[in-house]
Amino acid sequence: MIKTALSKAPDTAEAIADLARQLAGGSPSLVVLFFSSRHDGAAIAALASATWPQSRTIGCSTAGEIIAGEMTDGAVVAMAIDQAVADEVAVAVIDDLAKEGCVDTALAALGAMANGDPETHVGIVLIDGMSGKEEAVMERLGDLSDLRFIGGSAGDDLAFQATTVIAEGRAMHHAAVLAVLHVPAGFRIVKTQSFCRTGKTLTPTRVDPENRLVIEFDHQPASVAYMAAVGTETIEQAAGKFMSNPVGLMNGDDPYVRSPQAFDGQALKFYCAVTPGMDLELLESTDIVTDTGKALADANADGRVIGILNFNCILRTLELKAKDLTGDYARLFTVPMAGFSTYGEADIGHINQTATMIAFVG
Amino acid sequence: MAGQVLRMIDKLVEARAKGNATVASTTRTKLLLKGIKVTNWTATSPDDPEMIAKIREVAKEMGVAI
Repeated sequence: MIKTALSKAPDTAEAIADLARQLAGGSPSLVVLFFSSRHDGAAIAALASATWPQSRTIGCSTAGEIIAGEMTDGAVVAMAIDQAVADEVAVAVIDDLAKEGCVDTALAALGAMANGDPETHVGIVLIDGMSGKEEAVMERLGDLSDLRFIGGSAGDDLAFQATTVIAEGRAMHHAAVLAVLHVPAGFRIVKTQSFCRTGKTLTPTRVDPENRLVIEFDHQPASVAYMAAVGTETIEQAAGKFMSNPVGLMNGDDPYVRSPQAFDGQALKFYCAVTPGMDLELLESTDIVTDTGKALADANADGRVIGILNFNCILRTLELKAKDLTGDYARLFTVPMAGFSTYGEADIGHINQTATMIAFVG
Repeated sequence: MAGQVLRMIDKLVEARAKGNATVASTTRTKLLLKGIKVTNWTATSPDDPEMIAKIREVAKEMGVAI
């Protein structure tokens, strides 16, 4: 069984008690909490560990919380995954994302679970969303393990100051949390982004990956090339196209979206690093609610999905809010779902303007 | 000589996937994200020393002997 709960109680202790009441009755092996940065992360971590002492507890701060039926701000959501669904859970922490070998050490701490059968083991990864280390973490995880690690970058309600990840009673900054679940009945991965191809290609020819900057596309200043691609005459007009016209590294027809953040002089800063020489296709936005609904229907065509963890990009949330569609989006989920609005999504790599989900089957 | 890049990619993917089609697919995606577009290389592609070196480096990172 998978249960989810939402609490809007402003007092942290009251919110955790509220969640505990709603989640009572099961024997969860894992409780995952996503909380607004209005709550103190250390208090959430300590209270969660004390409230569910028989369970592993992990989570992170958000840029908005999501539960089936509602998208919120300033709240806490939780998912309790029962032992019948995940009969074994391993948790490890990367305390300092800047430390060399940190991913290797954390993965070793997960033990044999990190190299379990990829059909029945799935990973969760929650990373400090202000660290800028997501690409390195995901690449190294992929080097060392064949498991899918799905997750997101913690948020802080759009303050862009400090985000928090929690595990086993501890709250941490500049850190990441890894969990591996053994789910005998299996799982499905949903990766959905709402864009179509335009046929226009931009190839980064000069980049600064540490700062997620593209200095040149096709040997032209990045700003000039992007403006030409989106058909605008000024930088201001082009900046207005960022959300509807990101670029994608195409894996067949499946884009790994890289979203522009801002012009930095003649360069273009992205929300994730891009690789020089790899063609990026200009994308055009489509309908998030329709596309997500189709992805969910495909994932649950046999009706076996019993719960979903959802890592939804903050840029998608902002678009849904601007179009007054948050309710429509949240109501697409007909099984227990908990998630949050992220500062970046994880599935094989670090991506933007995407929702990555783990759909547990029963 | 031609086709060495494709042979190295195939060997890397096979070594990692051990017959698991899902792992083979995700390994190819990992290569794409590392800057190796698998579909660009065929049995007749010229041997590109730069790409060959890159694949050797990636294989080492992934713990695969090719």
